[in-house]
Amino acid sequence: MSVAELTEPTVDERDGRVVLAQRFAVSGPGPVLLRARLSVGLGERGREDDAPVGAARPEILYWDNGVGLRRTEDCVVDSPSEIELVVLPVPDTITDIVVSGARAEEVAAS
Amino acid sequence: MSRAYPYRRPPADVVATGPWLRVTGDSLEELPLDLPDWDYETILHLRRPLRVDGFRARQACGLSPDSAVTLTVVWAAANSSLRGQAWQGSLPALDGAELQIDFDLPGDELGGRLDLETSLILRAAGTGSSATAPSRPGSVLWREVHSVMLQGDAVLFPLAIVDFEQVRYPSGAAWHLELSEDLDSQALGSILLLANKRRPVVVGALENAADPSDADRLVLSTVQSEVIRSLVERAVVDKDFDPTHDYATGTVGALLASVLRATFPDRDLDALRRERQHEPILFTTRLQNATGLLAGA
Amino acid sequence: MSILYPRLLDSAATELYQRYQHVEPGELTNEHAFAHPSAVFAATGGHRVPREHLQDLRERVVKIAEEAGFPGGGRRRAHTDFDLDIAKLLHERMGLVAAEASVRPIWAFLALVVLPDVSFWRYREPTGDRFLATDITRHVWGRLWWRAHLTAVPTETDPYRLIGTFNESDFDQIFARRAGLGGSRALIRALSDVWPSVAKSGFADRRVLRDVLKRLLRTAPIIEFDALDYADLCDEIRREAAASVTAIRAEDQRAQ
Repeated sequence: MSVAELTEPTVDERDGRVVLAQRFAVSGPGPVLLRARLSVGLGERGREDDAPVGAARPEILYWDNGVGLRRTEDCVVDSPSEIELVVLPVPDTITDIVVSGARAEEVAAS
Repeated sequence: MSRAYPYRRPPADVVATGPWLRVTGDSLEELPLDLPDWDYETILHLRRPLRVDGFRARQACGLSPDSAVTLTVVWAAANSSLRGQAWQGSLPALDGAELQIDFDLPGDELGGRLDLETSLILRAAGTGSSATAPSRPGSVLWREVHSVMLQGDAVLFPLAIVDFEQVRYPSGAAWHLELSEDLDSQALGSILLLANKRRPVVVGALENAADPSDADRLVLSTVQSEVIRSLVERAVVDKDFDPTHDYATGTVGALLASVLRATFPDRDLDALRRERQHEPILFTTRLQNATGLLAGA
Repeated sequence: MSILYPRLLDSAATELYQRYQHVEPGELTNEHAFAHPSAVFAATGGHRVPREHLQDLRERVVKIAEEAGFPGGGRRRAHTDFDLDIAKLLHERMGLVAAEASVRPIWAFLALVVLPDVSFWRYREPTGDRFLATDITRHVWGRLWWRAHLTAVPTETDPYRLIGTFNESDFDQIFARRAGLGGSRALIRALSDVWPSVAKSGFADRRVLRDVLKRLLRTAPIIEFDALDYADLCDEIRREAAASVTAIRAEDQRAQ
C-alpha cells in the first residue's frame, strides 16, 4: 500500500474561495484510509507548534475521488485509485501538507 | 511532504539569471564559491546581469500589469545570523527586460556562509488582480539563493597556536580539539583547534596549509583524520547524542550528525557504538579508512 | 576597523566561574586581568585587541557601574539604566563586528577575566549562562552588545534612541527569536520604533508582543521584510499588532 503525490499543491479558486488542491495516487492492497496532516509551515524552521491567539489554521475542505466529495478529516478509498485533496490555507502563510495511508481493515481491527 | 504558498507564483523561467560577478578595480571575474582571502574589512563589489519577463511573471501570478513588483537582493550571513537588503530595483511590466544588479557589500555584518538571495517581490497589487494572486506587500513571487563561503575552513575550524603548558593541557601533545559539551550550542565559537607551540612541525604545517610542502601534507592529513576521529568518537561516546534528532542548523549536534553521515554513510550509530566497545582496534582501523589517513600524501 | 578579542577556553571559564562564586564582588577587583593563559586568539584576520584598549574599556565600565552603586547593592531601576549605558558603551567602543560578537567564548573572557567584579555585582546569584560561553541571549555582556546592535540606527544623530524601547525581558523575547525572524535588523528596528505608538487597549505589553512575534514568524517565510520600504514595514507591524489586540480581546471575552 502506498500513497504518492501526483501533483504539487496548486492555488485555485473554488466556490469563491482561494484553495490549495493536490492530487494523490493510491496503490497496493486496499481499501486505504487516507489521513491529511496540515500545518502552518515556518519554512526551514519547521512547523508551527505555538500559534498566535485565535489564529486560523489550514483546514481540509474536501476529498474528491471523481465520484463524490467527502468533507471529513480522513477518507477511505479503493486501491488503486486517484484522489484530490482540497485545502483552505491561512492567508499569508505556507501550508505544509502530509498525506499518509493505512490499510482500512488494519485500522478498523486495531 | 508538500509545502504550498497561499498564492500563485510564476514558473522559474521568468527569470534568466546570469552569473554573480565580482568587480575588483578594473577587472570583472565570476564570483568563486570560496573566498578564503575575505576578511571583515573586505568590501565586495558585486554585479549580476539578468533577463526578466516582468509581464509574464505578473500574468502567471494573477497580478494585473499595473502591479508594482521589485527585483530585490538580500544578503544573509551564517555567522552573525543577520540579513539585510543589498540592492533593489523596480521590475517593468515588459518581457525580456535586461537588468543589472550592482552593489557594494561591506564585510562588517558578514562571516562564514554568505547567501545572496535574488527575489521578485510584490510591492503593491494593481487593480483587477485575481483573488489567487499575492496581495500583501513583501510577498515573495520568485527566489533563488547563491551561497559563497567566506574565509574558507578557518571559519568552521578556527585555529589557535598556544603553549600547551600555559593552557594546562598535556604539554607534549601536538594538538587539541576544543568542543562544547552542549549539543544545542552553535558550533561557531564552540570549536577551536589548538596547536601546541612546542610542536613546530605541526604548527608549521597548519600555517602552510594553503601551500603545503610534502612533509606538511603528511602532518595535515594526520591532523584532519584525527579531528574527524575526535568528532566521531564524541558522537559515539555521548549518550545524549541522537543522529535522528533534528538539531538546529549550525549547532554542535548538527555538525556531529553530518560528520557521522559523511564518515560512515552506511552504518548506524548503534552498530558503531557496539563495535567501538567490543572491537576498538577494528573501529580505529575503520576510521582510518573512512578519513583517508595519509591516502593523498 | 574590526578588533579581535581572545576566546577563553571552556575549562578555564568553568573553573573561574566556580571559584569566583565564593568571593565578594568587591574582592574580585583584585582578580581582574587583561590576559589569561587560557585565553587564545583564533588565527583569523583582524587586529588583536591591545592591552590598553581592554584597560580603557574596563575603566569605562567600572565608572558606569560605580554610578549605579557598584560595588554596593544597586536598585532594580539602577540596573536597567546601567544595562542601557553599558550596551551603548560596548557597541561604540569594542570595535567588534557581528560575526566576532557571535563567538561566545570572547564574552566569557570579558566576564570572567576583564570584569569579574562587575559581572558578579550585576548578577549576584548567577546561573552559569550569565558568564560562560553557553548562550549569548543570556550573557551579562554579550546580550547587551547585541541589544545595541540590533536596535541601532547608525544614520541618526542619536543612533541608540531605540535601545530602551523594550524592557529587558521583552527584548529577550525578540532576541531569542532572532533566527526565526531571519536576523533582520530592519524588522527589529521598525518594531522598536513603532511599538510605543501601538494601541494595546490596556493589555500587557508583554502579552501583545509575544503574540505579534508569533504572527511575524508565521509570515516570515513568504514576506521578505527586508524588501519593504521602512514606512511599509512599519505599516505591516502595526497591522499585525492590531490583529493581535483584536484576537486577545476576543479571547478574553470568550473566557468571561
